[in-house]
Amino acid sequence: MKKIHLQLNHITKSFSQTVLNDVSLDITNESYYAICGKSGAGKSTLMNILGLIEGFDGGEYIFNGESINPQKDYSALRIQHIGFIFQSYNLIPSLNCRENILLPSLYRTVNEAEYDYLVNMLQIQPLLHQKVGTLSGGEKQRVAIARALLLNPELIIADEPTGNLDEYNKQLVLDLLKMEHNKNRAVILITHDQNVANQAERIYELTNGCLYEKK
Amino acid sequence: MDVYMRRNKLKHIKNGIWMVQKNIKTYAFLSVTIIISFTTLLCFLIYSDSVIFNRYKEELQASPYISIATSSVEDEKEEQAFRILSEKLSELEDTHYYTYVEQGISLEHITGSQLLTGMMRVVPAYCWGYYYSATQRFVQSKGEKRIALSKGQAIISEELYNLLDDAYSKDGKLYISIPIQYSDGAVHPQKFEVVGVCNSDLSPAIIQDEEGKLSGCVDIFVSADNFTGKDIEVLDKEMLIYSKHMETVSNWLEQLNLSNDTSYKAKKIADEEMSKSIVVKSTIAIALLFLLGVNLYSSFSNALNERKFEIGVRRAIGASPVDIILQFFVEGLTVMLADMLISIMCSTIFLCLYRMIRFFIYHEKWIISITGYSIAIFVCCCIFLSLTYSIVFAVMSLNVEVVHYLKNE
Repeated sequence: MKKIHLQLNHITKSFSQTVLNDVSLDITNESYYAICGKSGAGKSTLMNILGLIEGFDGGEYIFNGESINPQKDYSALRIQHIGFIFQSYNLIPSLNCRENILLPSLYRTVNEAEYDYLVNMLQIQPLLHQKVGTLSGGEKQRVAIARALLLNPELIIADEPTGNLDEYNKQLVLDLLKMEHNKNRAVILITHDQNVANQAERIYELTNGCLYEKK
Repeated sequence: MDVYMRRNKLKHIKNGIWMVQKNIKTYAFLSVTIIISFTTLLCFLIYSDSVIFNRYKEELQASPYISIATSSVEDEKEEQAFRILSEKLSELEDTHYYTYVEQGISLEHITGSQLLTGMMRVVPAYCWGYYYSATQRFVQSKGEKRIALSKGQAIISEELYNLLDDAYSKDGKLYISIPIQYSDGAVHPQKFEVVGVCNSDLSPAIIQDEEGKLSGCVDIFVSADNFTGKDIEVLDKEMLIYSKHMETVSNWLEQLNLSNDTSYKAKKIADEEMSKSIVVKSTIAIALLFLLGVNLYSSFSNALNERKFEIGVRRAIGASPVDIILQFFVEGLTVMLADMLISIMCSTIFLCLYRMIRFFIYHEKWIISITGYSIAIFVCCCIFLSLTYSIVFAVMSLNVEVVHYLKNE
């Protein structure tokens, strides 16, 4: 597994009001962090900035030694290093499960063995040729996880990955994230469920735009 | 779907085509307007070309290199003009010609009718071809277009051939006796072996009235070798000219005041009419393009609105702006080109149906024709529209705020 080192230094972001105010965070391969907060606290905004989907207004973001310009597009870094797991799964409805999982392979070469491994591990073999609209929440989340992990990213960003799941699937996802972390992947978990947050090695609270580490 | 697993240069093209299939309903709806517009344009272009072609179809189907110059042998000036013309033609490249004379023949001894006559044409022993008019070529029943006649041989019209019964046969050969009129007024019958049967100048060549009387005019071809050193009575002298420089020949004929029958002038008029129609066709094509363009912009915008979530997901996963542009460019181009092919098929079907209607209801053979100009107008319109809207579609696909279309909290 390649090394990853991300540094958020005094990041600020505003929309109609300040969402993030002087947020700093240091992430390496050994990181398994949970970020908690109330709804609307700015957790997803922080996730989007971290995942190079969204820009920021102030501060500095160092990605593996490269200073990130918030006006530029970093799709190349995203596809190479980051795997996203969204709360709403964000699967494309016109494609079936297999096509959704393999979507990243359009933009980067995929190891076929990795695909087979993920399908077997997440027990989604029977679902591959079904349209995503016919799946349950747990099945969709497993498909979304398979897509996120297909390219072996060094950083996994999971935004409320267990939010819509039953206990069985919730535990399945958490065990999977733990397993991936043990493979030296950094995992950033966004959640407002304290039980889920407790699975992480460090818990951060986002309140009034500021990030605090919970002890 | 094998577009995955390996990233290669063709992957975006395959992905674009594949996504068209996945979104076939959306694109089918968008394509209706495109297909109707392209079909209308192509039908209009072909119809306007076909109207002109059918107006001049005989001339246009005729060889542009043939001219028949006529001289009345009684007019010495025209005889001199013929001589001058022969000298000029001899020096012109890619030009062949021969002269022949005509004599009216009585066939009463065969048919019993004074009203059925023959036109004897005295041609060189070997001719590369003969034309009754600029548009009608002599053809023998076995398809042969050349004439090869020895002394004592004749080629006759099929209608005359059918009138000859066994009485004219001897030793398995068919003979016909023709009364030849000479300059001194004498008429001497001459026997010819019938060695060929051909189409007639007139159709029908022979008409039979209610009382069974025959009338009309049939054709008989004999070789000039039969009359070497003899002076026969001549009704008309004509010159058949084949030249690749028909404009020059046509000018000479006018200058020499010789009557001439040529498809060259009629073709010229037809070509001018077709050229003038280009302006009208181009104007209509541009107007149609404009109307279609306005419609297409809103259609593509609607199609794109349904795909903004997909674009957001692709960008979040790691698709670059170039990846998105390529995908939607290929999708747009695929749809436009497919619609172009469908409109060509639809136009062909409509025009064939129109042709059948004209044939079965109006008993008219209507020929479908299209000029190179019309093809160029249609192809240019299609390519212009395809490229423009594929590019517009691709650029519009970038105006998607990734975060806005992902389902955030």
